[in-house]
Amino acid sequence: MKDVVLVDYVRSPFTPSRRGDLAGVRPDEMAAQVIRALIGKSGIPPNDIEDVIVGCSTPEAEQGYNVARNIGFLAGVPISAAATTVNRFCGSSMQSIHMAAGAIQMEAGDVFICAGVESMSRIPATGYNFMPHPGLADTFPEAYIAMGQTAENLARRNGISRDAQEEFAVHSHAKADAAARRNFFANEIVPISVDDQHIERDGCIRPGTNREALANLKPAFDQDGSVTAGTSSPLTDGAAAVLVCSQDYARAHGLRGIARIKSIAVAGCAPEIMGIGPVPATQKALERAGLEFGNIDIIELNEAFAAQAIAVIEDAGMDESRINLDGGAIALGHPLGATGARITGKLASLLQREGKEFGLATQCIGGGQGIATILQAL
Amino acid sequence: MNGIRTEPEAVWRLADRKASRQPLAQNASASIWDIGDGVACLELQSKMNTIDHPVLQMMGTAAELKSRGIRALIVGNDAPNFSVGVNLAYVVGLVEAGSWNTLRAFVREGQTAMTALKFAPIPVVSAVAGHVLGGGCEIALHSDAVQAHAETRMGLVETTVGITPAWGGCRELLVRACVEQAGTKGPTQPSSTVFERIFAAAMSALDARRLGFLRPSDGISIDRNSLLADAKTKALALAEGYKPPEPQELKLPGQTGALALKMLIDAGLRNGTATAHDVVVGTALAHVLTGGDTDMTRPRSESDVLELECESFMRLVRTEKTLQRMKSLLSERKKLRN
Repeated sequence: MKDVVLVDYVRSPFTPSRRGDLAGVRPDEMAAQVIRALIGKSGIPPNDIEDVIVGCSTPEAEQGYNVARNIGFLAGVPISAAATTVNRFCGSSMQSIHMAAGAIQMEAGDVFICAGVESMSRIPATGYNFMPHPGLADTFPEAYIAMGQTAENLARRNGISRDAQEEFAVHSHAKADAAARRNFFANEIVPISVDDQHIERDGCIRPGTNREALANLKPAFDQDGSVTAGTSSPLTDGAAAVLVCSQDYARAHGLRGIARIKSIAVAGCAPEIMGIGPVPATQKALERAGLEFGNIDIIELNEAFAAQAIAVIEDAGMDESRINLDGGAIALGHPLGATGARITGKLASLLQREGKEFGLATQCIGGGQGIATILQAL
Repeated sequence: MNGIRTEPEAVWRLADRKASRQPLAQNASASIWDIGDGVACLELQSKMNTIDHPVLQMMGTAAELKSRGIRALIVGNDAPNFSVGVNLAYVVGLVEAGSWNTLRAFVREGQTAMTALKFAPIPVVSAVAGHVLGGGCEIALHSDAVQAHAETRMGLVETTVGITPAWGGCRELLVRACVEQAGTKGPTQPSSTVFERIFAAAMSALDARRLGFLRPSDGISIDRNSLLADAKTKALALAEGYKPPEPQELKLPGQTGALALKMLIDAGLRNGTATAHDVVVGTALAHVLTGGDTDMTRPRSESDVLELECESFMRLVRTEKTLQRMKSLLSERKKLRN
């Protein structure tokens, strides 16, 4: 089977929904600018693109109408390339990478744009017409459980204190702030230009976040609970894209490539503790890669909630010092459909920067799922 | 506009117009005055202009004035408040006496009076100022147009006393939302928009416009003394070739929409922004606003929604906590959060 490589990765700035700089920017336009930049940066001949696969968690309104196709048009991708929109909630754009990997190994193309986008300012997380199934809600209400409640459940299940959550959040902001100060995001952020606006900076990181300030916040989801807005990833606008190619194509075209996809996995878990999804997904991915946790040098674990991330770290036995070196979603933001491409692309670039061999990118998914990707540096 | 006006048309109060005249009709709580040019004014005269049985009777009379040469109707007065809504003491009395049939008949009478205003053969303009709450707001919502004083506090505040609007307030806001959002945002949006509006209250006329209690075409008067004159001008303009509105069919989501709203309410209970009885009231409201047992492929009539409003009201007034809320407002002038 062909080897699959990540050749390049870029993203838009991530800014807080409604009050951030990207709130006024259409998601299709945002994603198109990111993809156009990815193609330009990588130098691939656009005519070689097989498919544009765009993850999106709420594909309606400006994100509807097979938004991937219109993003392709806006980005100047040749009409000969196909396009599809993928929804696996927060795992959507990591799924787009998995689909490309599968297609490449099936000899069904060599060059794939794997992207993700979410404007949480412009399209509410449950969509404009949330229409749950009354029978399912009656017999299995967990199917519709609110994400914040799942974090509360994990906090209770694992006995994770509010203090521990706040310490985790403070650490995430500190890492992201340090990375921003060291210009570590410069290579990945693509400025977004609309009219006279030129948006080039992340907007969610709060330098100087401290435990005293976080301790003053009220619980956001359960008045008797411990999860606050400060220990949750913020609603965010953003887009990210990864160029995925067969290794043969990359070599033939002089593309260096930054990492090879070693294994992929998805797994289901109970919806009421959906945040634990990375644990079974990671176990599968490790087995498929023939690796153990000890082999994994760097981990990108999506921080939907601090309680959720801590529960995964505890249950999986992850080494926290290897996780989210440049900060996670609590600090950087979590534009649902875009996060999978961000953390997978970020992992590849971190392996390169840190001179490490194996990395894991994994995230939880609403409804009770996990998704994981193991990369090997080239 | 020929000749010299002895009285500036732009500034007058109802007292000036009725000083030398007999009312066209009158009872203990309301009067109807001829204010010239074929325009009549329905004036609520009860304490705080609360709405009781005589007011509803006079609304019905006002809707039938065309045969007496009247071509437009204003609902308004000189008082600081347009109306604070239903006579709550009367409702509490019926609840405490267990007079459920009388109470149901009162709800129906209110629906009939509001509907008569809405479909009257002459245009109806409400001239509102001060408090325009509950049933008072419903009068404004059933009018063809509203002229509002800038300092108007307007809203369907029934949920604060543990009931849901039952004199067509839900129906009228739904009709507006369905028209505003026709074909653009799917079947659940009108219901959720109205749900949010009912839990909000406008603190000014501009706020009322933002929240949809006033239409964009409704007027705002800065000078309280010109409010009735401005309303009369609006009524006369509408009278030319006036046709009453047609009843609308409402495409509502049914159970699935109610469930979506219920999930929001439950989240409020968990995070401490809603009480247990807020959940009961909110769930009842969600049932009304989503059309009850229906589906987007089976549109509901306006009278179907009135039926849902009535049933929701009758269920809620039988709950102890709703009675506590109503009594708290009456005796202590305080909203009770129970």
